[in-house]
Amino acid sequence: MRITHTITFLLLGAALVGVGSLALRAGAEPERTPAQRHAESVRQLVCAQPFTLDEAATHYYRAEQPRYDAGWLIVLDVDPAFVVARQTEEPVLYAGAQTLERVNHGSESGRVVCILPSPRGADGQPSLDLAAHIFFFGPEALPERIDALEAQHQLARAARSGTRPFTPDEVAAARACGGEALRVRSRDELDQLAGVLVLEHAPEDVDVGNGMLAPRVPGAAPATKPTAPRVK
Amino acid sequence: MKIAPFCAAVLIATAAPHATAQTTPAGPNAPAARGIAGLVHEEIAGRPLARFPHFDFVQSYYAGLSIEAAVDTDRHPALVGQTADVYLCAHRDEAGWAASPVLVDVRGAFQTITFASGGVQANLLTLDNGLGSLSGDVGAGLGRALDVVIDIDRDARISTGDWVDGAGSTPGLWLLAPTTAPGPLTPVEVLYSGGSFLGQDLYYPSNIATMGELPLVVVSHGNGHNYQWYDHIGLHLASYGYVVMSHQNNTVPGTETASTTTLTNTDYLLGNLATIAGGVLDGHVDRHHITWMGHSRGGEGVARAYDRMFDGQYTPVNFTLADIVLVSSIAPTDFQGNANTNPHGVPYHLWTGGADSDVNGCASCNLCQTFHLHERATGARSSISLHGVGHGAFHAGSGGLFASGPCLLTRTETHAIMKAYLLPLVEWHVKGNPAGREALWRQWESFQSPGVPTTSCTTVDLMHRGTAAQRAVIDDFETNPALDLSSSGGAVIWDVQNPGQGRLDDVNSAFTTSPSEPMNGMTFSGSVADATSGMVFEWTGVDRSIVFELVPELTDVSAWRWLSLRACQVTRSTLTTSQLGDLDFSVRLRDVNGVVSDIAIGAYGGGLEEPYQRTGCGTGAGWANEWETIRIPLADFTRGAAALDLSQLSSVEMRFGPSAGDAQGRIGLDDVEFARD
Repeated sequence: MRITHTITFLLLGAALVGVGSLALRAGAEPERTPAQRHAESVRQLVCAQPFTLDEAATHYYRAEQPRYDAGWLIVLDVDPAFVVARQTEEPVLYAGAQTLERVNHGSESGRVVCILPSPRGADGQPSLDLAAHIFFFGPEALPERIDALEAQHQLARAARSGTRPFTPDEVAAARACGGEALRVRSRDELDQLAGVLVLEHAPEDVDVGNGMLAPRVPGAAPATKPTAPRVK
Repeated sequence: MKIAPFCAAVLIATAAPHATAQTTPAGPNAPAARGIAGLVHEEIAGRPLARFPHFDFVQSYYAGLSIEAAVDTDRHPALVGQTADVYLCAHRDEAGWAASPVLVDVRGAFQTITFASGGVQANLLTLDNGLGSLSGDVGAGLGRALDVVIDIDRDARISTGDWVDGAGSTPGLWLLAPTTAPGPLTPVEVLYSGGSFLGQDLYYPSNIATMGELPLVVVSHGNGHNYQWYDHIGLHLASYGYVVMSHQNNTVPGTETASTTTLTNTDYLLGNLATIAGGVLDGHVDRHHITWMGHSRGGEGVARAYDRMFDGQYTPVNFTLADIVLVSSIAPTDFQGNANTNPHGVPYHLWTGGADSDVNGCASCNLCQTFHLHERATGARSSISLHGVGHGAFHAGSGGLFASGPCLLTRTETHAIMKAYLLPLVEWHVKGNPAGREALWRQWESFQSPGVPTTSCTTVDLMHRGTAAQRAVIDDFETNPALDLSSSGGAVIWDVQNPGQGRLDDVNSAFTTSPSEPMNGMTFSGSVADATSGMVFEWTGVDRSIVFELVPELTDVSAWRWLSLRACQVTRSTLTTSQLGDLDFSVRLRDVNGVVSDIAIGAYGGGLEEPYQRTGCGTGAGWANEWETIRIPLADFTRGAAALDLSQLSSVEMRFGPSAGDAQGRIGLDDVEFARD
């Protein structure tokens, strides 16, 4: 039986200090090791938008199932080979020692919309510094089984493989793409924004995006399913 | 003391097949409490067989196919020379017939038959050739209930001395509409969301406001799939009077999280009927008859959801454990194992595709072996295995089929089979409608709905097992591990070659055949916690047998309907690959007087299928061992052996080799038992 509790993101964040600068991304050697492939698997931080939630939500991508009320709504460009949907275990996406929730798969476009929970800073905004964390795919596993110890283990492993954080310039560009800080009431409202991003960035996941944008009850009305993105 | 055969038949028919009314429903020929004195209840409708026992008394027919009748004058010699009229009538129970005894043939005219000597072969009658006006369309129901009456005294009334197949709690036969075709109701689809991971795609009949409470089917998709990809299930069942809700399923974190979304979405729907779709469903959803269907991770998720409720780890607001009446998994994963993903006693059903390249079934991947959950189910359980069907063929969305192997079926073909089988499945488990339940166990080769693919690539294997009350186990191989002792405690005498008994688990990582691995290709057990066991053996050109001697508690089988077993050809064995095709062997019943009767399992339209010829998972061709349930009506053993005393059997024998079927083979055997439903 699971125990839901609040996790202290600050402790996890502190563990990351300095880790990101350990190594450069691997070059374009013809033959890459699996570790190098993992190091290169997250290619770009495309967009990043901070958010806060009036109603805390559960992060199901961790064994501890922590609650969170702030974070980043992110679009990543990744190696599509790492996000092919399958029923067996898939590579787990991390930012530092935290797992990301993958809203869509993005196995054709390589664009993955993610939710990265964060503690709030003194200003009430997410305090997790995107430039201080490395983004990487860890080994295949079920995210709901990843606990703090395992996440730390995978972080150290990724750091050793040469994964580096995004540069401040890269983060700034993503912030510019993402836009101003969001304040939403609930995870449901955040889902609808995420759905829009899926339709914009990962057209192959049109059903995911449209599914997230389905009319909210009681506004449901008999309708056939949309065949094209509602939002571009 | 001997009883005249005619009278004996009457006695057997009225005594069988149900000894305890408390645990079993009324049988197809059970007389009503009030009725017509001297009315003879006999099975009449069926289908002819090319070899002994020459006729199969069945209950379900698809419209458009012929309906035959037969009378066994070997068992009823007093009929020889008599002429009688044969009617096909709308079904009534016996009290109904007593109240309204005039015979009205639904075909517009009765037939006349003069009985001849020569048993069923000499007394065949085509009741309908499938080309006439009979239709299986009976509104939202699955089939049309009919009784067959032989009007012995030819007075156009049902009366003393007449024969009837039906006139009980169930009819003589069901004429089924093609279950691949949409039902008579117009389905409506509504897409909406109740919040985060509460996106739902809802299907219901357009006139639901005028209907009563309809059963609910919940569909939980798999990882990378989408809740809008199950129109083929939603529209089909809604057209037959079901409410279907397919929901957003949180599968990426894992099957525990997926199970949560199954639970929360079911609860959400039932708790918000007054507002969803404008409230049209309010008061029209039967929350006490809920089916959970799940695909892949969602297929495990639905079983996990049931297990969480069973263990008291989750308590929904708007429904209870008892409200879940069927759990059906499509190519389920098994991440959580026996302790956590266990259907327990709920009726459980499995769909599996032989070409699945995702939940692939290979020996190297325990969590990819789809049969684990099925084998854990202790209640009624069924499975359907489809050669050439990939993981993605079960849904209607985008993306690949995730298929590997020869002779692949398309989504359209796969969905036709799904529709054909799903409707009888839910009608039986959810509504208790027996009209199509024979679809759960009759060999696919001899009983399939019009509209299913008929290419040579279409191979379907079925397993079915009733509840414990519906079975008397001779040997399930799970206790008494010695080969010479059955689990029921009877002696087992065998001379088959290379026998082995144990857990049905391929313990290495490949399907490569090896003399050192007797359980090659077995994927029923995932770990020592999964106890499903069985026997494997072979024969090579010489007659061999296994004799199960019956303990005293099992010698009287007059209350049972079938001798049932499940078996498979062992994949990649040279004894399998050297003669790919259906494999045949025989079953012999022996009574205490030494009277014997043999029936070949292939007589009913198919033996044991060869394994799907997919490569990979080691060397060679042939995927996991595909088990099939074989049910032989016990009464058929008495045809041609009227002296066989079903109340005093001494043994059940499996006979292999040139005299009994195929000259060679290597097979698995399990769940040898007497059964009734």
